[in-house]
Amino acid sequence: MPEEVTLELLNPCGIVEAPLRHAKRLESLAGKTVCELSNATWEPDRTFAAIREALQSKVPDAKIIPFTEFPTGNNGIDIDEIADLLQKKGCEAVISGNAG
Amino acid sequence: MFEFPTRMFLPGSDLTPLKENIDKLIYGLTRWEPENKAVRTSPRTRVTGKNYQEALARMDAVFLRNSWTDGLPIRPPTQEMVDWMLEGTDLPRDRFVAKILPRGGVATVELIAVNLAMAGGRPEHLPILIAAVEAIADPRFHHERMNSTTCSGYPAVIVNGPAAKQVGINSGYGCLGPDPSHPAGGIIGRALRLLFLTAGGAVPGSGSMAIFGGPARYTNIVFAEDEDGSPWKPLHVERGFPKQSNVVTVLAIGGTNNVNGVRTTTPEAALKSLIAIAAYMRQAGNWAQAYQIPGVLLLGRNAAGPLAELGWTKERIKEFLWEHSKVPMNDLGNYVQELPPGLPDPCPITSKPENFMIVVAGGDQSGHGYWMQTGYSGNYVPISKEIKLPANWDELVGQAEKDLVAIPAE
Repeated sequence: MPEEVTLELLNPCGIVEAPLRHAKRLESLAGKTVCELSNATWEPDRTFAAIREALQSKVPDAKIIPFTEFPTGNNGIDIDEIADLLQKKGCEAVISGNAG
Repeated sequence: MFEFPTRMFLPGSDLTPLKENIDKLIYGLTRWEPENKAVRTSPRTRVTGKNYQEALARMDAVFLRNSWTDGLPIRPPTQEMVDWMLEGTDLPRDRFVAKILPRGGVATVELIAVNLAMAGGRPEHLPILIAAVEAIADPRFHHERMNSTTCSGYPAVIVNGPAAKQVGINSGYGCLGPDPSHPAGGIIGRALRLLFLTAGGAVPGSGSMAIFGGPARYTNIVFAEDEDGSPWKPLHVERGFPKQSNVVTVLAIGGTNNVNGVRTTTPEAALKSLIAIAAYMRQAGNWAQAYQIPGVLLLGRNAAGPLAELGWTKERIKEFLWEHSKVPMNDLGNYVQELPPGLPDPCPITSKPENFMIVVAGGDQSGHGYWMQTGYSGNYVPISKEIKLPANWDELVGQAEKDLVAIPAE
């Protein structure tokens, strides 16, 4: 009987290193300001409206600033100035809706 | 973390899962913290068969099941094979090169070598592949968008310098496609694609939402400029590198067109050819979003040479194409909304003539040009990186010459 052949193979995917830099965690969204950012694809009017409604039903005193209050589109939201704008508006959490 | 089903984001879809999982979304916005893993060594997988052929078939099945391949058979990335690939660099195997998005897998030198081994690579391919990965991972390139967007973009990797010829990257007939005499481009490009799929998780329907994908996504496009046949400065010199340096330049491409009727031996024919080329460029496309690089024009040496003799410099050609490829706003359809405000009608396809890229490549005959239009959603910035050759480079290419010499079929 010929011997079995075993191949020991290196995994091609690599380790996912989670980014070390992330915003300070919040205990809850109660009384917090949540901002929306949209790159204007995948029907943000519907998806953000649904998220807003569901979020508000769970955390009625969270202040949600809709994506219409910010620049939209890839070239509108993927810029350094957005961070300044979010801070200026007192944003404490961001929902970023991207597609396209 | 919770992943919403992709179908939820289709037009008119059922948004109930959003409401049902709002607690998970709130958790993501508040207490969720990324898990920090710093281990960079590759874990291993074992497959066994009653003989080598069966072990290989099982390996393919395991890799397919895990979405670790492009769907085509691969070579086994064993330690021996990967160590051989690593002879192509002086960099340590655990050196971080890039994080490949959207998944964010860390591409160390070793991981790049693993994917190169799977693609059927050789050590002399590795430094070119590493440079291409460095270029694509440059934040200005936005490869996360190229890999995940609905647009079916992929990188073109243009190689300049003596290393291209030494490795056998094609700059002549069929340079963008399969070529048994010049397999290096296809292999390097496939390894790049495998990295996008494995480390990057750009798997159709999950990490990548490219609606069509496109045939060039198997191997991307990796070719060399025909510097010997060019009457003009080669691309890397135009971009500020010394002539003798080895450089890769990457640009994301969304689609390509063969341009028929390119003849340049008389002033009249040359003019007609450039008008025809401009007509191919005159279409709505992703150039509109960032209004930067519209694409790369390829001309063969026997189209470029006579053009230069007739006084057409690259700069003059670019200005001509810029002027004649303007698109009436009405022809842009919904794309008008992506344009910067205040543009004239008809609209130039890029903000300035210098943004056109012209590269000499392809077979000896004239008659055709090739337009590679930029694609995907983002800023279209070509990125160039110098290829760092290892100290044993001459040995490697010498061995490759011996190994790849044509052996007559029995």
